[in-house]
Amino acid sequence: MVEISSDVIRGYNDTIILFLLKDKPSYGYEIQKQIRNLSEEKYIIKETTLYSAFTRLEKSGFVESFTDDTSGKKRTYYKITDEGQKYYNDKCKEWDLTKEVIENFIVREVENGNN
Amino acid sequence: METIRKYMESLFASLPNTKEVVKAKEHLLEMAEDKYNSLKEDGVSDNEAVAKVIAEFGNLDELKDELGIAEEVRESIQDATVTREISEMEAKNMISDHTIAAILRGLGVMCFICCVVPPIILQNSLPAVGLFILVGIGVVLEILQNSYMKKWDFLGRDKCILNIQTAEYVKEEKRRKSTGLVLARSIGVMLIVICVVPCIALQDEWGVAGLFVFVGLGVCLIVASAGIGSIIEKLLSVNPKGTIGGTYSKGSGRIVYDNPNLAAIMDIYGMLVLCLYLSVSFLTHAWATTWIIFVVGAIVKKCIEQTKGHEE
Repeated sequence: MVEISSDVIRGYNDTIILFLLKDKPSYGYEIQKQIRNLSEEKYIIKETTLYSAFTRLEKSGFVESFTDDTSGKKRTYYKITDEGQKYYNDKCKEWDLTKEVIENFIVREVENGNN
Repeated sequence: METIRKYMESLFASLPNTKEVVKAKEHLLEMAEDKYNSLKEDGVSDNEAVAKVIAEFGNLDELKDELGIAEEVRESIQDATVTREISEMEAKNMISDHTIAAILRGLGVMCFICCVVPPIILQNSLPAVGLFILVGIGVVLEILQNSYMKKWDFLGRDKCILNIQTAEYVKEEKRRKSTGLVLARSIGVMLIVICVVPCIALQDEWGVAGLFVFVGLGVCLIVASAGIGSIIEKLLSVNPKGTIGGTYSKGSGRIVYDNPNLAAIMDIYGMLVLCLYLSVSFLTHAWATTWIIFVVGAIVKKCIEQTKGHEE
């Protein structure tokens, strides 16, 4: 089975995380779980990768962190900023372009039923 | 969960104890804990949950830029080959061997100090023999204690680290032994302080001999308790200061009491002892002996701390 290469997906971790924060603030494990579910278990992001992405996004001002313990457990939550929202939109456009360009260089074998 | 916590501690042990690193450690532990709990809720067995969390955790190498620890990560990976981790069992044996060695060393020193006793009290031809026998025993004890220590001299030579489990064991040992060590040291000091008493009381050669025996015993107790105390401190300071591992040995050191009345008394304990000393001294005018109140006071305080208090 083909596995996703962490080098390739790295550039899109930010997009993925910002998408998941778009509608409401969230925290580490929740995001990790959503990525796993939405990707149908094809992409499992490691804790260290996620933390590294959070720190980078926060440093760039795209997300803000705050702690909350209303759920009974103290957790660090992340919230998207206006700048983050803008960055996300740019990343979406960038992906469309990337996809369009790379697509020209992809040859698919004829479907023979067993993939 | 305990296994996961220990795994995380071991990953971070050699990293510098900076704000960024501590924050990363806490945050990553938070995520790992969430994942572990959620797996357990789904009915996964404890072992499987732990294995899954650790397998999917990732690599600290990825965080080096975020934490500004590129150097340290590389170093800690290189270090791993020469670093020796001290297990709980090893620490246990090390402390017990050093305890025996410290007692032997104390006894050896006592033999050297007391070797003059036979010449003082024996007036016939035996004194020289007695002297040499005691010196001989002293030398044997010295050699014996060296052989006990030999096995452990890698502690000063190799680069060692203590994992959190061992550090907690050593800290517990320190707590358990501290009353005994303080007591031994106090008695030792007291014996040396009162060593002239036999001299004054007996006024003959037995009194002089008693002086040497008191000093010998006193030094023996001090040497032995210092030896035991120092191996515990040495073990606790094995992890380099400034790394996460270096924080394992720190308790806050502050003793707290559950009973609020006792806590209030212990707050002003030093003042109470001082008042007691002054009033007893002024009433009895026995200034020469009342200072013992301080020694007793210190011992009583230690006993209360051990039985009623616990470290914060």
